[in-house]
Amino acid sequence: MDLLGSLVAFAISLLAYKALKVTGYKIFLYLFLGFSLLGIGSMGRGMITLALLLLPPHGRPPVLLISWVNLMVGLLRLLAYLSIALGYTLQAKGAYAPPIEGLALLIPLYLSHPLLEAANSFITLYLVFQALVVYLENRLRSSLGIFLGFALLWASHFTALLVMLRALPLRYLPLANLIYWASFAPFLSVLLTVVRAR
Amino acid sequence: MRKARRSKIRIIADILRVIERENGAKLTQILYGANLSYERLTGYLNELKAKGLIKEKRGDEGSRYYLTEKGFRFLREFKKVEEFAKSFGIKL
Repeated sequence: MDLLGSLVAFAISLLAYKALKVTGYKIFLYLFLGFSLLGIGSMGRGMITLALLLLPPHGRPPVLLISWVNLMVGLLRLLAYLSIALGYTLQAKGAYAPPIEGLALLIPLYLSHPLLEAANSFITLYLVFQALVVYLENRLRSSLGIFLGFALLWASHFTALLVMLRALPLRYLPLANLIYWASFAPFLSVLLTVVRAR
Repeated sequence: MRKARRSKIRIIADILRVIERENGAKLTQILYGANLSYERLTGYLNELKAKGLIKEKRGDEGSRYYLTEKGFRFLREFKKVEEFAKSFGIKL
């Protein structure tokens, strides 16, 4: 599922790259970077999962590598959301936009996992808010897809955070992952709408 | 309320759309369709010709402008980009 999710993220980043080439708008550069990083993160985790499932016990990656990859995935997601948020901030002229550039300086503070999840929850909540504003303005199905995608990403990070803070039992952690994978479905529907545009 | 200024890419797309819709358009049709002054339009048409997106054919009733294969391709790409941009609330 992580690998499939990474394919959707890469496809969206490819569209953003095309848009950047056609228009030269900086906003698309941030969307391209954001979705590429999201794709790389998901791919990294997908590869490790595959290695754990398919390799014989002696060939499996060590626990240290797994936790390192997990931390990298978390950091990549954080950078991905920051990049997408920066894109939204640039295009939301006049609309409410927190100083997201300043948030980048906080990255070194978010190196432990619960804090990383907290940061991801916070930034995805910002993305949910921006996507909702866009949807309420244009009422397009594709904008609804973007909103739902970010809303599910936020729900996934928030659920994971609650598990880490022990506000929810550990059995909810797989649910957080399921929600994360589900978030790629609305993004996929947006992708199909764009590809079919005539 | 003041209308937002059109970006260059939007003006180019509007010109190409008029030409596509008319299946080859006269200068006046593009003038009205793309809502541009004569001076600005001729500037854009020269640029589009130089980039190989349109071609001009002179006839008895004056010139007509047609999309080239590159022009059709650009317009197809632009429509996808426009749809993508709209989903994120980005105005082109």
